[in-house]
Amino acid sequence: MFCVNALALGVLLGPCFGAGANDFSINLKVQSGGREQTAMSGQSVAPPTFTAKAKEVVWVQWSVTNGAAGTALSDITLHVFMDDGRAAAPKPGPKALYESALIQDFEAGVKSSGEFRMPMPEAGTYLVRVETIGAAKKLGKEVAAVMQVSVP
Amino acid sequence: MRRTVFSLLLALLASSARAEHFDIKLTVTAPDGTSKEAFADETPPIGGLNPRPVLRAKAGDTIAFQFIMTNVYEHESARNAGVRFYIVRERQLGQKAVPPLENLAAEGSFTFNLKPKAKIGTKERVVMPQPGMYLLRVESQRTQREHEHFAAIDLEIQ
Repeated sequence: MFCVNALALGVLLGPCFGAGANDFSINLKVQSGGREQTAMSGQSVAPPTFTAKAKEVVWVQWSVTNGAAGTALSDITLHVFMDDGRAAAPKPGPKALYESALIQDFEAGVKSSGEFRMPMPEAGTYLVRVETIGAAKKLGKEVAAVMQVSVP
Repeated sequence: MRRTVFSLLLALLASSARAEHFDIKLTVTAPDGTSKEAFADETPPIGGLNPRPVLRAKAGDTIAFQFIMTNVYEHESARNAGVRFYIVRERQLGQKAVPPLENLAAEGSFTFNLKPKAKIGTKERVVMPQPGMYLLRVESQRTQREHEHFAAIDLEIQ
């Protein structure tokens, strides 16, 4: 039985996601077959969509930067997932394709990044989300970047 | 008595040589619920000290893997440290050398400032499309220590 409890991601804490995080930013990029799409935190419009083919390998990259001078953030969880986009809540289900969590401090100017590559398993709409958990204590809001991946 | 003291010393040396900077728990599960676990190993020597468990599954199966790494150092940090994980074909089960990282079945990495007691966790579901032998491995990078740590499991896809 695949156990997800051990990750203890804390994603059920109910973070509130606001737009317009100018100083603490997340940049999300999805690429495949020479095509790419980017999403930034703070975008108030609908998430951009990247179209891929079934079995095609997609490359998901993100970077997180604390550009807020003098604002040090500690114990920030960077939570990333890719899951079936039909999920109503912004949290992954037990069969998410990918999920990761990393806890680190963000002194002013500090950057963090990550990536993964995987073949898209089957047709459907998927959601990629990169989000903070714990930033609201200092920033007044959590920060997230979101993209849809459509596999026709 | 002398023999007992010698045995104790040997045990202490052995435990010192295996002192870990990272706790790692790597788990992989097949669709039938079969699961294998691996824990922190270190290199050198090439391939580490521990024999790798083998998970058997079929081509077309979706396997699920998960790892949690914990920096057990209480005071040391490392800027721009990294963690990398991948599934790569290998020539034979248990081979010591890591194969060239080409045509990976899955891969990912993180670059971050490693803080004391930091935790990094990932879980992923991957369809294994072709029969063969594969190495699933997660490893630390750029930790500014004398050696890096990893955990690894072999996959035999039939």
